[in-house]
Amino acid sequence: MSDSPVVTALLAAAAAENAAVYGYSVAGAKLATGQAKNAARTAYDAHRAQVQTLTQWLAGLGATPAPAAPVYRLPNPVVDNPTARSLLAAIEESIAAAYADVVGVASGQLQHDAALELQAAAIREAQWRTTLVPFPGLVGRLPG
Amino acid sequence: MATRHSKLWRSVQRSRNGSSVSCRSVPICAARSKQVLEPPVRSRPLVGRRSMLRLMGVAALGLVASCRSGGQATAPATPAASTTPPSRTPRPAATSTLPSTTSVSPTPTVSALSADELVAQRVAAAEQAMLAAYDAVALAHPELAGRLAAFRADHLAHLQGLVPAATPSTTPSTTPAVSPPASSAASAGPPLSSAPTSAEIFQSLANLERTAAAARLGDVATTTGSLARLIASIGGCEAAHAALLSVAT
Repeated sequence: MSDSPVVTALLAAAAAENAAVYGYSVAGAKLATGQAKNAARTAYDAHRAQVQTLTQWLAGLGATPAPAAPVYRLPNPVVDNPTARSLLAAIEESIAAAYADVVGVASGQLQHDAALELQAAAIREAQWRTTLVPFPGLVGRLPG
Repeated sequence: MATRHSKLWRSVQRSRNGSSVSCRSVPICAARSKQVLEPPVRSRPLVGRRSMLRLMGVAALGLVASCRSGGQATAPATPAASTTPPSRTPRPAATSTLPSTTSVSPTPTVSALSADELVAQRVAAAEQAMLAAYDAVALAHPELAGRLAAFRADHLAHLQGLVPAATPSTTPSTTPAVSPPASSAASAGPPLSSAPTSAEIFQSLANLERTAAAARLGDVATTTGSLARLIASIGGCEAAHAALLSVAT
């Protein structure tokens, strides 16, 4: 059996959110300022909440997301503030990409909510990156 | 004067060309089945109180309000050939991609635009309006132009992503044809303050960006596929712009 495109995209988004929760738990402690740590806690809460939201969306479609893995491989070691921010920016880009995929296959309220989550991820990504990305969620996926 | 002290804004401009890390190649979720580390660090979660970026609304300055109207005046929101409403036409899945290049050719015949093309043109017009707003600010406040260049560049990228053949109606190096003259822009502000502060200008641009991001949510609803993803991503960028501008001084 194969899942519908919407279910597939939502499952991927749930996996990305679980990875984000893990990533924030690792990187949060390495951030330099209290302001950044507070922002990381807020984002951590948001990603945890999104895991629940996605679980509900999937339940409505008769699917169940895979549980979070106990540990995730990090693209680079998180040893200090810059590497922590770099990881968090990459995490948010992956989140934005996951919701962009949902937007592409969903419709109605689900599509709207996914687009809104993409915006939230883009805001957080810019916060960690402190630079601008013209196409959050599509980095490396657009020709040219 | 003391407007270039922000490290953030310098880094924005400095790293534009080199910052597009290939995040798709490093999503940590890709390794979820390969557990290479010891048991989770999640035993010390970062739970805590929310403290969101505040997107405070400030009354729009006459300056930017005039910019907006200037942009809209020249931006073709609905093409003349739009004989079919965007949301009414059934879209074959195969056509729900980026605007086709086949209809861009300058043939004399008038052909109907597809529903997706209509949406793409509507969003492109909005991006033109944003470009015009940034151009008008740069014209009236040249000292801010450098800090805003990266923001403007994003909107140009949006425009060209939507309509590959498009060129901006203005360029930053020439006098914008669509923006109000600098004198009127400078004098159209509220009478109580003759010269808006940079923070006020950034706040006004933040409001424009926030409105644009909200509009993209509506635009997405009429599209599917890669165009939907593109418009949603543009909305994400505009939301990020709004967040950054709202805390800029």
